[in-house]
Amino acid sequence: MKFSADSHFLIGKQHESDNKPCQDYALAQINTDCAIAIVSDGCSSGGRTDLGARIVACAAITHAHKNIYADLGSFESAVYKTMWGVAELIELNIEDLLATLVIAVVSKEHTFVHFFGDGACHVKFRNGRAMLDRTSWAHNTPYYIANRGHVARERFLKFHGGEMAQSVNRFVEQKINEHDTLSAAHSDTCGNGMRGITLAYPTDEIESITVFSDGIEQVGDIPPLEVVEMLTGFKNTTGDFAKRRLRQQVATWKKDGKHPMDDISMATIHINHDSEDV
Amino acid sequence: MPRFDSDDMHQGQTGGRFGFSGVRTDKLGASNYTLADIVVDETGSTSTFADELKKMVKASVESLKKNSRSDNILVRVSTFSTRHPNGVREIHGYLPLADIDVTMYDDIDPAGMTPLFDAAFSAVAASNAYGKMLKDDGYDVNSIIIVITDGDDTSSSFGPSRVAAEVDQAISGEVLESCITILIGVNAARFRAKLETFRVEAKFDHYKDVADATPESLAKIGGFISQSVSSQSQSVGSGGPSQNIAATI
Repeated sequence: MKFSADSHFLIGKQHESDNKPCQDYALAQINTDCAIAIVSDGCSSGGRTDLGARIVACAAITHAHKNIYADLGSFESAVYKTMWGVAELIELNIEDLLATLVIAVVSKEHTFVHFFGDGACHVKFRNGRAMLDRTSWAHNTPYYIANRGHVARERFLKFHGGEMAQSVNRFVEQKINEHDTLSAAHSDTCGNGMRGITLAYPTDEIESITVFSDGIEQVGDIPPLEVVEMLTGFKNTTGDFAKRRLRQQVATWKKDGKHPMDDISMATIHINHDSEDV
Repeated sequence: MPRFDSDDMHQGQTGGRFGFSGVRTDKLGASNYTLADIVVDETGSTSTFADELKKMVKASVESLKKNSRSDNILVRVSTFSTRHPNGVREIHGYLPLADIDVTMYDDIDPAGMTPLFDAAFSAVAASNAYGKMLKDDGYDVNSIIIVITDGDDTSSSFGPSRVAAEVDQAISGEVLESCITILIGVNAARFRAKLETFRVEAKFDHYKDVADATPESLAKIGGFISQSVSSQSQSVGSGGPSQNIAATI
């Protein structure tokens, strides 16, 4: 089993027009025993969340390992401490650190995706099926790891109406074949969302897994499932394969008058099951 | 000579007779590339400065290896003379700079007459064909072709209009983002008018005349080549060609 991984992010039309920086960030990394893909989306109404997204992503990849699923709380705590360590050094405050985190960890044994906030995960299975799982939050106010501290946490819970409030929306679409798609929507509690939503897949059934920021939902009138299918139609999986695909696809959309409104980030892991590196 | 073995190289053909090679696109890693073709006269009349020609090509490639864009440049070196089958000899196909070992470059061994038009055609056509392969695999691509000659054409099967047709395809922008074509005449003052005519008819962008084939002037050509390739490489992704090709050498 051999992993290839890549990531990229591009500014959306809104931030370009507003002379704001891209507030999405993405990272992908192959370790000795797993591959990691991360996207982070900074809050548009926050502070310098372009920096926040980078800090969250870099803190996350520092502490990521193949077994974070076993104690997600410890992982989040480590990321939180690192984020604030960096923030204090350069005098950032909480408004600057409001950024989501979606992290995929693929090992030979298992594949997990963890959502801290909103975002999406696309999985292509070896049997030809594909699944897109999107997570969003009520009032467009997702959980951010920066809200883990006591005061911020209480304020966040109060805003959403408490731990049991149905604040998290999940929408899952599964492509069965070229013509047929199944979809399902359900909700989850604010408390569960704050603890991190986890998806699990058997690695030996997966061809690729890609995490996205919610920018995939604002590409003209193109449905998100179609957007991610275009973005994961890699011609090959060597080197900067995600950068090439995202760049070329966005250029095509722009020519068709469908400039993505929001920043888009993607990080992808491709699995070659015929190789024996892992 | 290349560090890639034959399994890593794609072999292609253009114009029904001109071969070219390039590293297989699934071996490449960057998101965009500039294809740089350096085509060198190896006819009998270059015998007095053949060593300097080789040094010039080596120095150009070595200089590009140190360029900040070196990871995004693929270089192909070829020579032309009627002594070669079909008039063109590929020293090496399109290779990443890191994989080119200039110490292994064959000597320039002058002999034969001048199939200049065929050489120009084969370089532009190879760049178009290989560029399309890269484009089809998701890479952004532009190209620069530099042909160095000391004389006018004497023995080509293709004419300037055929070269122009390939240049038209290159600059249409559908495959290559842009293409810059440069003809350099060295020690070719008496052919200047004819070479300028060829430039116009073949739709090459630039003709640069370097009066004498001295070590100093050939070294300047080497510097011009590396600066021009570097400049075109900085333009890939911009949608247009470099606007910074030096007016003179």
